[in-house]
Formats: sequence, C-alpha cells, structure tokens
Amino acid sequence: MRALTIAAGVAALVGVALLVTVFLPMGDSSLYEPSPELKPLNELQERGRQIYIREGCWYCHTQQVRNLSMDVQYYGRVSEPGEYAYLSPVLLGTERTGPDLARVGGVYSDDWHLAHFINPRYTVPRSIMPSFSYLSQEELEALIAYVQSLGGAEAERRAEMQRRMKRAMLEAQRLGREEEMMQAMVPASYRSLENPLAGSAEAVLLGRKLFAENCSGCHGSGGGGDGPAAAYLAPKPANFTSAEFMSTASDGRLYYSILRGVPGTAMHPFGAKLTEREVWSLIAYLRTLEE
Amino acid sequence: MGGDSNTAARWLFISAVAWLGAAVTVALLLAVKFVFPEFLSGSAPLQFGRLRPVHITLAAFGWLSMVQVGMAYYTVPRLARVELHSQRLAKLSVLLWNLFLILAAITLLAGMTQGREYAELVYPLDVLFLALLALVAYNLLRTVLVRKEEKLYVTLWYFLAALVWMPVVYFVGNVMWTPKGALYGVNDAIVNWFYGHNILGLWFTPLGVGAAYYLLPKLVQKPLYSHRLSLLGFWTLGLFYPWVGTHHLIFGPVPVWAQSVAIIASVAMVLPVLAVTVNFWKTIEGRWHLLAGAQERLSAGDSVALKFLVLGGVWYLLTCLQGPFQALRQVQPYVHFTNWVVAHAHLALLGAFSFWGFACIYYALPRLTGAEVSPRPAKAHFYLLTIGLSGFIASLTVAGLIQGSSWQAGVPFVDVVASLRPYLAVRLVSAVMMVASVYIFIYAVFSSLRGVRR
Ligand code: HEC
Ligand code: HEC
Repeated sequence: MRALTIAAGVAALVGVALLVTVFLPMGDSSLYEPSPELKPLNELQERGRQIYIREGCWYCHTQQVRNLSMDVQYYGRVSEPGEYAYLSPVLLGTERTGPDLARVGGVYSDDWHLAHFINPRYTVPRSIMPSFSYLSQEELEALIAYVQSLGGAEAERRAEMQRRMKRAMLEAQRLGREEEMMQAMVPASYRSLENPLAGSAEAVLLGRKLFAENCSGCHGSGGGGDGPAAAYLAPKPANFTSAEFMSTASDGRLYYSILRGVPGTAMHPFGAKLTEREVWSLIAYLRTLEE
Repeated sequence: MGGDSNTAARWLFISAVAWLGAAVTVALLLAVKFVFPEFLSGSAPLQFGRLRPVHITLAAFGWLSMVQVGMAYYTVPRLARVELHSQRLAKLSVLLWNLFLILAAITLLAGMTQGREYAELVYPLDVLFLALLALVAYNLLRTVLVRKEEKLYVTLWYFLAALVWMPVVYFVGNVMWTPKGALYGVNDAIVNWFYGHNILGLWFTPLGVGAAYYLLPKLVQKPLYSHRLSLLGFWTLGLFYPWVGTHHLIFGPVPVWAQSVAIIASVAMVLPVLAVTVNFWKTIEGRWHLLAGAQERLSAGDSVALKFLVLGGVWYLLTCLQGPFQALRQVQPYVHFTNWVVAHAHLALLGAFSFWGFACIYYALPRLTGAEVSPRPAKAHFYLLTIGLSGFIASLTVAGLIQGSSWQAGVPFVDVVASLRPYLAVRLVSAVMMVASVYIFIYAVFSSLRGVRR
C-alpha cells in the first residue's frame, strides 16, 4: 500500500508541473498567432527544411534572436512567437557552434551558399562547419531556398534583390559594361578616398594574414580570382593579379566594395567583420599582387 | 539467490558496457571533427549532424539507462527480499532494448530524425521504447508490491518514482499522441525542454541517487546517515525538478512568466541537492581510510567502486550547483549556446551518473557472476578517466566563457570560432584519454568474465 501511495504522490507532483509549465502555454492561443511577416514555406523551401532537419544543422545553429542586445547586434530584430506559428518541429536550437540563422535569408547570394555547402572552407577558410558535398544538386537547391527564406518576408525581399542584382551584373558583363556599372555603384564620397596605409610594410603583412583568413577561398591564395569556391560562383571573384583590373579600381572603390560587398555576387560585406585599419591593410596587400 | 535469478541484471550490465564502447567511439569522431573539420568529410552517415544524436542516444538510452535499470534489477529483489516478479519478462526487456538501440543507431545514421533534441527517434522506435519501459516498470513494481521486507529503503522510493515518471515524461516529451512527434510553434520547444531536462531530473537522477544510496552504506560498511533527510531530498526533488525545463529558453520567444517559473524552480533545486550531499558525506565520515591505503578491507572491485562512487558525488555536487547558477538571468548571456553547457552536461551525465554507473558495475557484476575484478586495469580506468574528464570540463568551460564574453563584446563570429581551436584541441586530447579509459574498462570487464567461464 505504502508503495502505491508513493507512486500516486510522485505522479501528482509531475502532473501539476505538467499542467502549469506545459499545458498552460499550449492553451495560450496568442503563441500561435502568425506574425504578419511570417510566410508559409513553398514546396522547395519545405523540402530544404526537411534536409536541414535530416542533416542535423540545428545542432550547431540556433534560430532565435533572443531579447538581448548582444543577439540583436549580430542578428537583427528579436524573434517573436508568431514567427514560428507554422513550424513543427520548431528548431529553436540550443548551441551556437555556428551563428544564429533566424534572419540569414538574403544576407548572402545563392552562389555563396552553394560554395559554402560544398565546402564551408571555400568561402570561410577558418570555418569548422561540415562539408555537404554529398548532397545532390537538387537537394542543395532546396537547402539554399530554405536558408534564403529564413527571416520571413523581409528575408525573401533581400534574397530577391540579390537575384535581381545578379542578373543585372551578368547582363552587364555580357555587354562588357561591368566597369561602368561598378563605378556607378560607388558613391562619389568614397571614390576619391586614398589608402592612408599605402606602402606600409606592416600593413601589407597584416593584409596578407587577413587575406588568407577571409578571402583566399574565393580570390585564390595568390589573389588570382581562382580559389576553390570560384568554380561555383557567377560572377567570378575579382582577379587582383590583373593589371587591367587593378589600374581601373581606385583605392576608394576597393574600400567601398570590401566594406559593403557587391550585391548579387558572393562578395558579401565585410564592414561588420573588419575594422577600417584592417580593410586598408588588405588593400595595401592587394596592391602588391599585380603581376 | 541462484545464478538464474540474476540473468537479466547481468545481461543488462554487459549490454551497457558494450553500448558505452560504441557511444564513446562516436564521441571521439565528433571531437576530432571540431579540430579537423575535413576528417571523414563527405560521407553522409559520418557527418557531424548525423553522428551527434547517435552519440547521445547510445550514451543516454544505451549505456546509462541500461546500467541504471540493471542496478534496479539487481537491488530491488534484494531490498524487497523476494525474487524478481518475472525473470522471463526481464530477459525479454533486455532483448527488446538491444534491438531498440540497434535500430536507433541505424535510423539516425540514415538521417531519420524528428528534429528534436533527445527526442530524435522516429515514431515506431518511440513506441518500442515505451513498451520496454512499461515492461521494466511493471516487473519492478510487481516485485515491490509483494515484498517480504516491511521497510521501504530510500533506494526503492527513488526507483519507484523514476518508473512512474519516465513513461509520462517520454510520452509527453515525444508528443506521442501524433506520429509526427512534434507540436507547432514555440510550444514545441517548451515540451521539448520539459522532456530534455526531465529525462535527467526524473529518470537519471532518481535512478542514480537511488543506486548511490544503496551502494554507499554497503561500501563504507555503515548505515545511511539519515533516512529522514534522504526522504526530504526525495520529495523536494519531485516538487521542484519537473518545473525547470523552460530555463533552456531564457530570453527566447516564450512567455516571460514561464521563464521566471523555471528559474525559481531551478534555484529551489539547491534544497534536494543539499539533502543528498549532506547525507552522502555524513555517511562517509569516519571511513575515508577505505579510500586511501586500507584497501585490504575491500575487494578489488569494491575498492574501485568506492572511488567511483565518491568522486561521482563530487561531480554531482558541482554540476548541481552549476544548474541554479546558470539559470540566473544575469549569467545566461555568458553561458547559453556555448561550450560551457557542453561541459555542464558531461559533468552530470559522465561525471556524476556514469561514475555511479561504473561503481554499480564494479560492485554488482562480481556478485552476479563470481568474477574477480583485476585491480590494475580498474585503477587505470579510474585515474585515466578522471584526468581526461577534468581536462575536458576545464577546456570547454573556458571555451564557453570566451564565446559568451566575445559575443557580448561583438567580436566577429568567425574570429570567435577560430579562437576556440586551442581549447577544442585540449578537449580532443582529453577525449582520447577518456575513450582509452573506457576501452580499458571494457577489457577489464570482459577479461574478468572470461575468467569465470573457465
Ligand atoms: C558542426 C557544426 C555545424 C553544422 C552541423 C552546420 N554548421 Fe553551418 N556553420 C557552422 C559554423 C562554425 C559557421 C561559421 C563559419 C562559416 O560561416 O562557415 C557556420 C555558418 C553557417 C552559415 C552562414 C551564417 C552566417 O551568418 O554567416 C550558414 C547559412 C550555415 N552555416 C548553414 C548551415 C546548414 C544549412 C547546415 C546543415 C546542412 C549547417 N550549417 C550545419 C557550423 C555548423
Ligand atoms: C565567397 C567568395 C568571396 C569572398 C570570401 C571574398 N570575395 Fe571578394 N569578390 C568575390 C566575387 C564573386 C567578386 C566579384 C564581384 C563582381 O563581379 O563585381 C569579388 C570582388 C571583390 C573586389 C572587387 C570589387 C570591385 O569593386 O570590383 C574586391 C576588392 C574584393 N572582392 C575583395 C575581397 C576581400 C578583401 C575579401 C576578404 C576580406 C574578399 N573579397 C572575400 C567573392 C568573394
């Protein structure tokens, strides 16, 4: 009898806790109210989400921007319950071996993701993320569509803009008018900037290190635009050994491109990742590569 | 008690040891991948995200659960002074359990997962696990109900509670009323963490503490310090532990009141922990010489069992004090999502509960089989594991603090990843030591069993 009383007692304890901590939130319909930014996934994106689940991406990546300034500064607006209303399982995650992905959609171009999934070290030389080169072409496409959808309608707009710019860049390249387009994208206030560290041996040394750590996978270890990622990218990475390119590209233009990236291409902004001094050091280094 | 009535316990212990070998081998691959990401790269089943749940499933539902239930099969009849209700059902549960683990490993490697941490397994496997759990619970409860011993020793209280709690926790946590096994929206995370934390709080903890309460008086040859205190610990555990799950979602997109409730309950967990701890150390008091030197009074198996038991008690206290500390809103931003938590989890499951699990095996297996534990490999197992685990905990704790404070300072994410490499390398070296110690353990167990057969 004693044993049964204990069993009943402990069952009651867990029952009360369940009621309050689990069933009470389940009855709170405001947690299911879809937020206006939330877009249901299309078929391809849903397929990508299944691959994300299957491959265990969620062990290394969270999908929640917490209500903390440190999260907001990296990842943007705080996540709200309504942004998850359609999702099951929810994939909030518990570990940030890699960055949060809640709002990563459209931050990079599609081809950046392709090269990154084939081998993350192609685009981010110091990455420890696994390579997903074993996925089929079709699976990679789905996965990219899913990742580009993360962050709701806002993200989809960014991703769409990337795709539009890519088409424009490729069209300009075809017509031989790329230079014109690039020049037009750089604001006048940047165009005339000059490298304050030009010729400094110390800057070149720092630039060489930063280049190996951040840029070599795409631009090639020698800067020839022939890194292992290049095969997956269109437009191709710039070739810093080309005298033709380096003579038309002013310091100010290079500075602007590194800071803000080139929308529509795999050249993403480094403004948040490098200091001003580091960017100028990189440019000092790039100037030594010309053949 | 004759050999036959111990078969299920023996089988479970041996299965547990074998699955531990598999779990730590997978763990080693994972630790290598953190330092050398190209290691075994390009193969789907050997990819990090596929291997990680295999490691955790085999360690938690293979090794640890098996050794703890094995200990229940061993102790419950002895404490109740009757035979186990049905040895045949018990043996069936062991066979089903091994089948379950084989299928779990295969499906996870194949990428079949429900996408929820600790609750990855597909629906049919959830059903299989619940069935074998029901078999175990039914068998042990029946045994307790027909007991000849009037007194219910605290170990039985804990085992009883675990057997009531776990089926509920597993059923609700895996959302088993739908084959999809998940809810919609953020409630899915709330249920997931009710479950994730309570397999620790309402399964491993009561089974582990119950086993420790059984072993301690036997090994130090002295009665438990206070039965009443142990019951205070028991009821406060049941009162507070089931409420803490949502502390995994602090600052996240779940209601703030739910976070606060979880934080308060987490802090209240200090009570049951202190009850266990005081009882534990007060019982050892005056018997420290058994640990150092005067080993002639204990057999080789009991001597190393006591070492594991006592050090496990130290890890238990450490990890249980970390818990409430981490749950505080002031601390969360520095530790959550970082390697600190990985260290914490291993302190609990590998430090506290696995150390007690090793104590169970070194104590009970010789008594079940008549095997002699040879002291040298057993000691090597203990010391190598202790050094390895210490290095593991230290390196990941520091790595976690570096992550937390670097993120707080806004250091670019990839720079933080790169700065962890030395610590992840120390973790790898520590992991090699721990894995080696487990292989030595396996050797010690199987070579002693071979001795018996001859
Ligand atoms: C072992 C942990 C791990 C796994 C598993 C993993 N990643 Fe990553 N991921 C990282 C790390 C570390 C980074 C940061 C370095 C980099 O950009 O490669 C990262 C970066 C990323 C980024 C860039 C985010 C940004 O803001 O720069 C994306 C997108 C991404 N991962 C997607 C995925 C997807 C999709 C999967 C599953 C197919 C996956 N990851 C699996 C660790 C992991
Ligand atoms: C993921 C691949 C990738 C990485 C990594 C990368 N780039 Fe680029 N980069 C590109 C591509 C693609 C282009 C070509 C864009 C275009 O067609 O205008 C480019 C173009 C450039 C340009 C020329 C832009 C212009 O004005 O024409 C500069 C300068 C540059 N990258 C510098 C860097 C530096 C410095 C780094 C490292 C900090 C870096 N890149 C990292 C892919 C990359």
